[in-house]
Amino acid sequence: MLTRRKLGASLAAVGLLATPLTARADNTKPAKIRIGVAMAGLGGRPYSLGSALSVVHAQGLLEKEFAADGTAIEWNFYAGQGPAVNEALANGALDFAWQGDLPEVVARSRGLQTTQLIVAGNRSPVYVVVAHDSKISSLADLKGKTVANFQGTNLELSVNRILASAGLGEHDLQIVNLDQNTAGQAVAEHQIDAAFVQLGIPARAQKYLKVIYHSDTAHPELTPQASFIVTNTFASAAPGVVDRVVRVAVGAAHWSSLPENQDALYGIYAKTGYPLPFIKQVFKPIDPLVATSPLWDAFQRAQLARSAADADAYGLVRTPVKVDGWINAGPLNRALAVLELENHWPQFAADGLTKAG
Amino acid sequence: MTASMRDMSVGRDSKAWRGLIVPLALLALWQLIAARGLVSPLVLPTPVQVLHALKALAASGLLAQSLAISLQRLLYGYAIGVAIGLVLGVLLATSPLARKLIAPSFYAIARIPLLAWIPFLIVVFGLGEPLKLFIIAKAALTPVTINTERAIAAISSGWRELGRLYGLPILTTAFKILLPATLLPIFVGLRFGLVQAWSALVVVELLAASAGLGYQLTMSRQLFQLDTMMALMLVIGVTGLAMDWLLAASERRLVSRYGGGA
Repeated sequence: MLTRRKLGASLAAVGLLATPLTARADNTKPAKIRIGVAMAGLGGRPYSLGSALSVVHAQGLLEKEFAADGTAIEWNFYAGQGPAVNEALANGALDFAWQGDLPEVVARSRGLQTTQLIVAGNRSPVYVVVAHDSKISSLADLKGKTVANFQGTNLELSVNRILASAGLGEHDLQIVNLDQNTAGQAVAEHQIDAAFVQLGIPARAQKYLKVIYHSDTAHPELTPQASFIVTNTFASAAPGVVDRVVRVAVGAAHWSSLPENQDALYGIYAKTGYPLPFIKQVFKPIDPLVATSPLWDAFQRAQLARSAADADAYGLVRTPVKVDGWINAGPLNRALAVLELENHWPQFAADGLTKAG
Repeated sequence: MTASMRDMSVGRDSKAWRGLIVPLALLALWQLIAARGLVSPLVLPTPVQVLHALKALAASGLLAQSLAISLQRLLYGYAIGVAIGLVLGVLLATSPLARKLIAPSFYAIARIPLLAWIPFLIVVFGLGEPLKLFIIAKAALTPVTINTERAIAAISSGWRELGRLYGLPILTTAFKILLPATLLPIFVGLRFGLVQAWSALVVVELLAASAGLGYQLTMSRQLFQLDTMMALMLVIGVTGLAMDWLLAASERRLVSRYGGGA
């Protein structure tokens, strides 16, 4: 164990030394860019769904962007979601990461040095599923029931908010910590009463389940947020590379927002192994222009601040997190200017409903 | 198996302090690695940080609460395992018919590692408390059964003759002659069963629990509080050790009462 840690440490140290040597000015050409994705497809398939990063990966956009520089792109998909990404970040094994707000807040409270680049997934719906023959029909009915939540992931914050909206708290339920695949199956097999799920449940479990709640578009503040971050070590060593990566991601977000690309987008999401009909059911009701927005508008900033405050209120962090100075919209704004997309996505006020400016 | 179990029992070693060398050296190495910053403190917190986390855990009341839940689970599961194990052991040793019927299946089942059972048992029992109790009971049952069976089988026929020679009733033979002769090896089985049950408890609490030490361990990892996680590992280790010490002490008392054992 110790030797492995030591080895990891030496490798990390070499990595730290190597980055500044190879990356000085804006035209840096790092040997490798390491990206962590806080999601894996069914059975560990190396695909994700729900954000522009899914498209960047599936279409090989970064590989194309950096081909001429000889920079390798290393994609790492973590079934353990955000908590697993945090461990990899702390080990110095990643440069960029796509993950949810709660794990990001948790890592920041522990002193992990990262910078927020773009929003990559917002207002993604949260469902409560029960067995098809269950008598549970509303959130209020969940009181005293055994309910799955994937704790420590950004689903957890959303679950707490949704429960609070129905006058409940986690302590009113018997919460069991299960990942979403296991949770869906456990409900289908009547082992637990209900599960909060976010993006996908296995097809074979679906026919035994019914949805009794889904977060509606009138309350975007209840939904989880995900974003794309960079380690401060990498950002200060290779700011030019950060700009290029963000430009590619914003380009992918733009592609994902166009109505004519929606079927292709769902096809990319389906590479995770989750059934296409379910993916359509989840994403069709959401306006693609809103869902794909990378902007740090007043709503997205408020969501990040709300997640930091909620993580503290629900006792998920020991040190409260300040969000000031965490977001660097510079690379995003430059990308929007270059791609002429400044007015493509709507800007929302803090409530997430009123369009601003 | 019985012989190796006996090795870990009985007697005080005047040079027991030697056992501290390795842990102290590891502690020094850990402190050194952490203090030199060779590994990120987020991944490997210093021993002092772990101690602070332990204090915070104790102060919050979470430690006592989790420990109580885990020990209660252990108690129930272990009691079930021991009860069945003792009966099964006696049956296997004394009834040739029971031996023929049960022994092959018992040994085949005992050889499947606990982790391999879990997916199947989840399907059968679901994710609730029965699953946890069953797994703990199963972990304790195997060593208890095997040791009980061997203890009884190992009694020389002379001891049984003794009872018959004096014309003692069967119960008196059992309690006055057979029980003292088998008590110690059976006790070794109980002790080993407890060690197994404790490990099994932590494993089952890592799965789908909502309270207990194993659950808190998972949660602290999910919330990236690796100092708390290591503090909990410490608590789990020390608790296991303390329980074993307790049984070892009882074992010494048995030895002094009934002699050096079988």
